[in-house]
Amino acid sequence: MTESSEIISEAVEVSKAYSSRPGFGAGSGKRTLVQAVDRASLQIVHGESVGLVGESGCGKSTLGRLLLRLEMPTDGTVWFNGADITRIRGRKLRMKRRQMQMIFQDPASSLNPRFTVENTLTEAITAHKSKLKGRALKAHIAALLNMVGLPVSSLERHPHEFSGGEKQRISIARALAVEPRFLIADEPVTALDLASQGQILSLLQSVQRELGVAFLFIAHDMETVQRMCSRTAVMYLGRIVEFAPTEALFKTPKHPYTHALLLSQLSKDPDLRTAMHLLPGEPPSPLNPPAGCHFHPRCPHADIQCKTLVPLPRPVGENHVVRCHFDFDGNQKSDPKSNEDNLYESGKKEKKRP
Amino acid sequence: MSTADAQRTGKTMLSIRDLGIEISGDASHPVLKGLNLDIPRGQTVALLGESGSGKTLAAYAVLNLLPQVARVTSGEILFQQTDLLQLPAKKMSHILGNQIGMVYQEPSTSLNPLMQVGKQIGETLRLHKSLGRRAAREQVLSLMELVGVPDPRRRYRNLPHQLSGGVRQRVVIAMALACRPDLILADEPTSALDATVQAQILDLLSRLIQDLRMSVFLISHDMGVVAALADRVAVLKGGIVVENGDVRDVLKDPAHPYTAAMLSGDIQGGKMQVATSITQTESAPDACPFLNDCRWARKECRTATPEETIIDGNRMVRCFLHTQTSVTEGME
Ligand SMILES: Nc1ncnc2c1ncn2[C@@H]1O[C@H](COP(=O)(O)OP(=O)(O)O)[C@@H](O)[C@H]1O
Ligand SMILES: Nc1ncnc2c1ncn2[C@@H]1O[C@H](COP(=O)(O)OP(=O)(O)O)[C@@H](O)[C@H]1O
Ligand code: SF4
Ligand SMILES: [Mg+2]
Ligand SMILES: [Mg+2]
Repeated sequence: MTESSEIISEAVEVSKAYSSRPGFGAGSGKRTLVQAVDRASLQIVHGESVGLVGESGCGKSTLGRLLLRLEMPTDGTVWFNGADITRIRGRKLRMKRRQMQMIFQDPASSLNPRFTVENTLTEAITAHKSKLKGRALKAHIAALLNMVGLPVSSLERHPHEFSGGEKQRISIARALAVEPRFLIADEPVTALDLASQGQILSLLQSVQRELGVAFLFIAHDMETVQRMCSRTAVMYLGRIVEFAPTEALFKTPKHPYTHALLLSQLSKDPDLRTAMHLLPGEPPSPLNPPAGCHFHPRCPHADIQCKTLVPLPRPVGENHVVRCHFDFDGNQKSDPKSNEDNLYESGKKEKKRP
Repeated sequence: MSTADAQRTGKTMLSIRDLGIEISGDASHPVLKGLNLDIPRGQTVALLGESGSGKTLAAYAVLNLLPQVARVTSGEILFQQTDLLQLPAKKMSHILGNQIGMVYQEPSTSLNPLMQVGKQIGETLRLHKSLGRRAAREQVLSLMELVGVPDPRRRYRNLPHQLSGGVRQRVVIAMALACRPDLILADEPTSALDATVQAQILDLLSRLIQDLRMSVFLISHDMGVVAALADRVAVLKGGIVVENGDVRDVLKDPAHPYTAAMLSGDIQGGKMQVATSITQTESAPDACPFLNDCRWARKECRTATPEETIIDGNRMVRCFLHTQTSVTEGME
């Protein structure tokens, strides 16, 4: 599955820095850089569902926008179906974009309140210069509604007439309208109530299965990716710290942060409440990230080298990559066999290009 | 012992009886339809329900802070022999902060963005305990220490936005505790926080609950949070409590089909109700609130709301499966 021909979407050491003016009162108005994404690499195979988890502000949505080329990376390349989409523009880019779609967290604000469902879907279809007209168009729209489980009577209605879960169905139908091969769902159920959450997750699962669409599933909780994704990437302060098959990630997490995330999952069993393992502190500001390993101020295993040296992605198993200087066997820390190749001084960039 | 007796002997800190609240306006509809909930002294009782089920309205009713559109249609809320619903606003404002401390989901609801956080905690103290400036400052610092604010002397002068989300919520907890209130009302106290920070705040709350023997009215949609903190849990569905019992009993062996469905994550949310979802009207007003989604529904479930039934001595459940036969027979 690592054969490049099967890969639909790939980020190769992409970075995105935003310049942000400090708020009022903070001095001269000098611009500072927010490193939202820091040399992240990720591959998604055709038809596969990959999860991306991390705490809010760690750069998940930004990485999603980079993969769809809704934004230009400040560094690195983004590939889609064999083309470097950081180098194409105009019609060629639009052709690629048509095959990728995004579903957002808040369906209410991503739907035009003045459009009926029919308007919304028709616009999505025709915006991409589809030649569908008349009967064929109507049939396509009916099939879409059926796919997302909305009755045909919804066509004449406006977004405010639907519940949150139903609105999310409409935005899924809109995303599917152009028959994409790759979908990014950015926390698609975070804003929904419990009942709708379960329904929308099931719907997305069946979309993936039946249409064979590849998914990047962005979430802030481990439970969702465990249910939805065959592989999962964990992000911390702009960096992907671990990327592995979901099962391996849950069974044998290799990065201390992944380990901590798993331990801070809440149990529904009141008898397990004493088993809370706490990570000290909070994710630092991306305006002023710690040197070396971003995680070192909170890491129970941090060593001198963690404070100065940035850990690079390092394979630790089949399809299992981790950015940490050490290997762990339970809580037992050891130096990896050959570590020298993986170290470089923070700040210096010596990059391997594909 | 009846509720009234328990109130008199001071064993019950808060008792919500038959609370009805309706939202008025174009689509006027009842949200709470006779909510019953008791908080025994020294216990943490959780009200568990999905978002939009009326939990926050119940909390606002206790605090006398209901929005204009909400109207109390029935019931009483007894707090230390006083019906809070009948209390004049002036007396209520004395109780708030002094005898009832509040922790909301969004720290921004409780914090003034333009005032140093140390001063804000101090305000509460000076207002209710008429402490001098210096004495208040000392107490504030020890409160900040108690709730684990790192480097309290420096943080004292920070404005809320200069603190991380977790530290802000610690400050809110310090404010709620400032006057050593008899009851803490915590509405989704960790819902806005990320996983690793949520774990820290839950750990803090559970230590405070134990050390200070607090009585807590906990509101949450998250069973993990309820499992982490509560002694008892009341499950809210369709405006009434459908199950109420010891948190272990309820979460490990749910009696109500709705609780069971929530635990297994198998909530179906009824048939697609396009265009009726705004008003949320139920087909029959007198039916079990879980009727449309219940695998065990039978004829009688359509005709009336099940009465409160006590099972195992200590648990209340409102479901026809429990009025005659035992749960396990009905559900397996
Ligand atoms: N357009 C932007 N301009 C400036 N900063 C941004 C912008 N978008 C995101 N950021 C910053 O980049 C970081 C990552 O944000 P985001 O990708 O939204 O994180 P997540 O989706 O994981 O919550 C945050 O610190 C955020 O404030
Ligand atoms: N200020 C308000 N105006 C109109 N409707 C409201 C208002 N506050 C609450 N409601 C309605 O009351 C119901 C219950 O709300 P709430 O108590 O906030 O639920 P919960 O806290 O359980 O999520 C919701 O359906 C909501 O639409
Ligand atoms: S590199 Fe060091 S600080 Fe970073 S996670 Fe590994 S052990 Fe912890
Ligand atoms: Mg995001
Ligand atoms: Mg609420």
